[in-house]
Amino acid sequence: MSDALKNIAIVGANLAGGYAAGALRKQGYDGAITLIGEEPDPPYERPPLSKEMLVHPDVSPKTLFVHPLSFYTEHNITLRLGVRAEALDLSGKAVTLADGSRIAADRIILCTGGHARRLNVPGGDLGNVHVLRNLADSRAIAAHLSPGKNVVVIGGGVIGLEVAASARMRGCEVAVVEAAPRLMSRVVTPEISAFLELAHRAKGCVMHIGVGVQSLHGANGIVRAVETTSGVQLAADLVVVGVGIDPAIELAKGAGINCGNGIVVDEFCRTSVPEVLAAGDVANQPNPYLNRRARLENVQNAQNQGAAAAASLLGAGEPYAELPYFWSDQFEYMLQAAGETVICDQAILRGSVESGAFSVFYLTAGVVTGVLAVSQPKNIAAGRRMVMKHSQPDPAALADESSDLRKLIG
Amino acid sequence: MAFVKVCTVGDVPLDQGLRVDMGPEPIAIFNLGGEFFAIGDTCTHSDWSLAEGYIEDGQVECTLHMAKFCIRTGKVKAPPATEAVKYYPVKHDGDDVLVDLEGGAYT
Repeated sequence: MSDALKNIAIVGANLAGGYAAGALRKQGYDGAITLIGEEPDPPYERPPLSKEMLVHPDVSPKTLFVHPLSFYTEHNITLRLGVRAEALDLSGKAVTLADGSRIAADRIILCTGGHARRLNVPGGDLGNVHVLRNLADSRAIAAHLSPGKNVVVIGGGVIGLEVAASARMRGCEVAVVEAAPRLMSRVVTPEISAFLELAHRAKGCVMHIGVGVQSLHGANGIVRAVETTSGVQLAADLVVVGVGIDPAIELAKGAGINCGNGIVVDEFCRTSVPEVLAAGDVANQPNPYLNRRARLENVQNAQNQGAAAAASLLGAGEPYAELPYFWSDQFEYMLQAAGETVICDQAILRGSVESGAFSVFYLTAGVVTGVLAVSQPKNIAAGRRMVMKHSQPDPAALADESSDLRKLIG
Repeated sequence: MAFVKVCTVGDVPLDQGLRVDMGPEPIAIFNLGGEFFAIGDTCTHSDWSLAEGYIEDGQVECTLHMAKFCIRTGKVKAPPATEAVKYYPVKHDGDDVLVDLEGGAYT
């Protein structure tokens, strides 16, 4: 470790930032660490925001904060919360904050995440139109959910469908509007989209798929209806917009760092500027499992890439190779997916879709490249290992529910 | 020390787990190559049964978020969990697996 390294600043007090800070100490770095966050809260996990916290707003979720507050004191990590980082002053070795203060920084890890996209249509800025990215958004949405309320969810991706399920579980009348021809089209195959559509319909959600949003109508500044591109008016007491995020690249761009769908990093999480690394939702990195660059917006990546960037900064890093993995809870269905779950030349179904618990293995040239399971978590554990080991199991054995998947990993 | 029978050897296949809810907390019995171990069943990260987990190299991986615990000691081996689960003393009596359900402790 270089003697010159005395101050490290992490921008983004979130899962990636929290893990990066912890990993720096674990690796033995004993200089200053400042964790800077725009939100007032210390690093927290986002999964409960669209699920537990909407369904059971009065119960604090078991998993929310990444570390207890005492962790930061014990590890001498300075938290600068509720203040936005304004710029990176690389020649002056500092991060400047919105309140005018400067944080000394020989090295910087950018975990700036993303901004939830808003709806760019007339009425998109009416009251009771929310995105869901942070704790405040989740609390605001939860406060509006009560039996009989009309909730329109715009976007049939992971966040949109989780919000739809949570709102329905709270007794709301729920409509989902998705512009693409099918649900979660970026991450699952048409068969899985169809399963999800059926599941949501069966629970009483009204699904408008392949339909865009024309405008939002309100009264006294509060949204009252959503008008679709097919001319249908949907009554709305609350609108939740879940149409993805834009990576937060402003700081990096301002410092002349190479960006393009996020902050471009190498396999060691290094940006085009030697003093700056990046991790989490914002980092665009070559992924050996997808054979292309990818910006992974999931929990496992935020956690592990944050730690990897810290190790890399201290010269102890290894090339980071994360198998993409996400999960989503919608009603009683737990969907988990790892690897490449859209492009394949063979999809092997294990179990029956109708039963609501099944797994699908995706093969390309006979090699398992992805796995998806609905309410069969153990199969994901085996499937992930198949992807990582480039297994070539007998497709008939994969489909046979009586076979032991562990024996097919090879 | 009050060892009670929780299952028989045949109830837990090789490299598998079994959830037992007979004491103060549910426990997971694991069969590692014919040797039996017992640890707290509930993942300390998010409520989920470790007996349902994936067993590899003496560790159990929670199938929900992939935290790992040492089956012999209950210690955390991979995040996102940060707190260990308890381990419990195990004895055999013929084919019966006995566990001291009151004897859970952290390593």
